[in-house]
Amino acid sequence: MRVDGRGLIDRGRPVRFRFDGRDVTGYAGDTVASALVADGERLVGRSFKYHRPRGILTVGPEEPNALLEVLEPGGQVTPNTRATVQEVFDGLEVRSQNRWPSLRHDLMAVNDRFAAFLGAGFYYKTFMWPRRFWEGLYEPLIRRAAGLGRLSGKHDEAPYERAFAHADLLVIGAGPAGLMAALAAGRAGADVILAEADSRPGGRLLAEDEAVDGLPGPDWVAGVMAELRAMPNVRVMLRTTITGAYDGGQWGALERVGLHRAPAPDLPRECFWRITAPRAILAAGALERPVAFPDNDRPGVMLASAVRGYLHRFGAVAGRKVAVFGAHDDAHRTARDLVAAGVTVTAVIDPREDAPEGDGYRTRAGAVVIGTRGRLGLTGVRVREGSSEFWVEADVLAVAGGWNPSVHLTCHMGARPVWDADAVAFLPPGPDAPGAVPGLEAAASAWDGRAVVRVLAADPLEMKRTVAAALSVMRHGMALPRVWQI
Amino acid sequence: MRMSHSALALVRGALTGHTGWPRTWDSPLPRDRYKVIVVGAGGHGLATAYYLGRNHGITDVAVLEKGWLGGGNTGRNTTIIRSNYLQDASSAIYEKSRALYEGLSQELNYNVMFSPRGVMMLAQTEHEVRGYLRTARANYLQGVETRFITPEEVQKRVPIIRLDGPRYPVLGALWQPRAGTARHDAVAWGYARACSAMGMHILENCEVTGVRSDAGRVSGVETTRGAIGCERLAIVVAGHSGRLAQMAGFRLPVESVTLQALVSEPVKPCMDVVVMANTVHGYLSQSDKGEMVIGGGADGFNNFTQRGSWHHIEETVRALVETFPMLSRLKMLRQWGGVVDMTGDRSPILSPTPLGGCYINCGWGTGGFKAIPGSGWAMAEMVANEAPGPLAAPFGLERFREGRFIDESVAAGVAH
Ligand SMILES: Cc1cc2nc3c(=O)[nH]c(=O)nc-3n(C[C@H](O)[C@H](O)[C@H](O)COP(=O)(O)OP(=O)(O)OC[C@H]3O[C@@H](n4cnc5c(N)ncnc54)[C@H](O)[C@@H]3O)c2cc1C
Repeated sequence: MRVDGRGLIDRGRPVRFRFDGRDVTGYAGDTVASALVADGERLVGRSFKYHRPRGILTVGPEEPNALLEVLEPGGQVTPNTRATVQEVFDGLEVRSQNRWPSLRHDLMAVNDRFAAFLGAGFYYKTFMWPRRFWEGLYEPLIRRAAGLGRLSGKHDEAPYERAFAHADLLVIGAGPAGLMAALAAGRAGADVILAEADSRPGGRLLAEDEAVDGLPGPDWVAGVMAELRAMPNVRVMLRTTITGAYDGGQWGALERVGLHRAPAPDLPRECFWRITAPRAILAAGALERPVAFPDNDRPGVMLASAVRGYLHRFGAVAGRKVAVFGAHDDAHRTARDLVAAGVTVTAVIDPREDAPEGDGYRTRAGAVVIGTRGRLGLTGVRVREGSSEFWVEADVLAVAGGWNPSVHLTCHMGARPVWDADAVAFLPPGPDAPGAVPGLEAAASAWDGRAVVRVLAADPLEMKRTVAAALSVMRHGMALPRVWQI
Repeated sequence: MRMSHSALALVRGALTGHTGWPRTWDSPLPRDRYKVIVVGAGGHGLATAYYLGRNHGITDVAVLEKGWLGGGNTGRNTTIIRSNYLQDASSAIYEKSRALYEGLSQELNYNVMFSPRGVMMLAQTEHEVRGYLRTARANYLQGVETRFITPEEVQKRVPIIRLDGPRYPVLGALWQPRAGTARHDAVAWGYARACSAMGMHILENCEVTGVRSDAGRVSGVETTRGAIGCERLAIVVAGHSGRLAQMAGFRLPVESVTLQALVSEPVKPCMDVVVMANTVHGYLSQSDKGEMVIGGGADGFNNFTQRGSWHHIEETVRALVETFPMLSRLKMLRQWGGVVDMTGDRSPILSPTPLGGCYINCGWGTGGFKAIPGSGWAMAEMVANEAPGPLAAPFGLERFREGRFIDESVAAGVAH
């Protein structure tokens, strides 16, 4: 369902693509996931082993469920493409995977009935008798059942590129923290590469209803980007994921050059970059955590951050009746945003006894979700409040389990993340930890102000204040960080 | 208590919520003293302990591991099992090992998923063709079943391969039909479970920091969990062998380098055999789970980093995409490195050492997963009898002094 007047999509430019043989219309700026959410499609995949029905969980590259095959006219197939990353274009054809004969009627779902027998590691304890059955029967069966997508069997003749780039500073992520870091470094005259995995800069500012310096988040981003684009010493690389940190200040980066357009003979699909930069700032933000409860994987259960992201960035909601579960203020932020957009919020279930009262929605304080119903799509949520248990109607359940900073790159050389009980999260290892990535400084952004873990001490670049400011911005409701005026 | 694994046990587990399974191996407190201490709970160390008990009745054994069990190269390798080496001494121990793998699941009552799906080593230059023809003939004389196959047969067995490759055409391959793969962790876990059932102690998070000796003979070790006495010591620590040797007071002709591997996201079956391409340098198989398991080269410099350098990943992936052009559509999920112990002749060391009662098993380098059962068998024999048996005898340390190498640099030409 689309919500009028919301989103950064271009409603003047409809785009037609196919999902499982069915025509779907989205808009320029949509991902496959957002177009499917707007279209009311909740079932998009099947789980790996039990073939449980799965829906879209996230709004970003962390998506574990909505993995699709992209089909090309020549018969070439790209499996396991995340619907939350794949942008729509006219003529795009995607197909669900790991189901037979169809997504709705998947015969392999019998595995789910026998789940008790097929627990983790069951195969180590069986399939040994009679001995020759392993080769002839068991292993071929296991192999056929495993695997998600399918490859085409055809040689891939499409072009790819590889390229090299150098910079004084690599900024990883173009959310508010990354933008600020790039801006400060750019103004100081450093050669900067700003790499962003998304097709648009802005990070969580695109997905939230937040104002910065009196401007809507996306407008503030546009202003910063205009300045960055005008600097000859700053290079912005969109659709570019930093994939690894290697010795000698080298970074692997994968750019999706042609994946968002119809394939053409001279259009490289991807470019693999080797970026050499002695210093880097990790501003890759954080990922929201789901919440564990029985049947929390039903289509319609989504991260609260994703529900907000679909609403604000794509003007889309996945249902008409949304329930929210979380012991985190983001649960209430989600409810507020939905109510403001005219969507019915059937309940906010918040385990905290002193949970805030809702305005336009009902808070169930001290309550928890203990189950869900609706096999192919959520229809209700089982709630326990005190000694009573009851169903809350919902076709979407937004779950807010807190945030995990994206620390991965800081651990690429063997250092381990550090558990912080106050932040209730793993934080990046310190710069002196064994195996720390030399030259890499971590600055998380939107998840929590405590993410000011360490900031770059490169004084000439004034990076310290910049990043610290960018972080405190998120902490304190996005007051404008005027750091560049210092 | 040890519960036997069976279909019935699984059903019982399912009906009781899987709460009744005992630990796969116990984690006891260290005793003051053991008859034999094995350093390193990788596959080779655990197999050594297992065959000490099974073949020689020695169960007063502790296996000491500095990290977690199987966390070294055993848990980091690409699991290729084959025995098509060139020299007789190698074929003997590798074929012994391969044959033991055939029945290992039943022997251990633990499914190690040995999958003899066939291993193919591509010949992509005239030189390689000659080399593999020679190996095939040597294998025939050794009683190891291999043969040289044509490009047409290669294509038939591996439909996704590009025979005419952009750089090197496929001219044929050395084919071993009963070679294959196994589930690496399960091999370590299965041996550990069996050792524990015999009453042996597996002590994790127990790093050996010193070797104690008395009048030229080992008397114990110092560890991060205290000093432990022993009558005999077996050092089985792969990439860290040089360090342990230093503690025991001798030097080894071994270099430690990082070897890398990576796996893709899982896809439906697309390749049923193992393919090794030595000239372009990469090798590939598909795990039962569907991941494409890819191995590449070793770093050209010595290090202990367990991560490896960028250019080898790039080179390996390029080689694989060149040979199997369909793979460019896959994303890689994980990449890692293991510290491998390389000898000059690319053959292992199974040997008594200058320290009495201390034996070493190392030098398996890039290719020792396949050797785990055979190496454990031979090592146990040596430790039990305080003298190498026929399998181990050719692999003594003295060969480096005497120049009596067991040259396998061709058979081990690619890192596997
Ligand atoms: C990337 C890669 C791919 C490979 N592919 C293949 C393949 O396809 N086929 C094949 O046959 N072989 C392969 N190999 C080689 C194979 O993995 C090794 O030869 C084999 O696993 C070695 O087993 P191990 O038990 O000797 O060593 P490990 O498994 O490394 O065990 C040694 C153990 O000793 C412990 N240790 C070290 N120092 C101490 C100490 N001071 N105190 C206590 N414990 C200590 C370590 O923590 C470790 O757990 C590969 C290796 C790598 C790295």
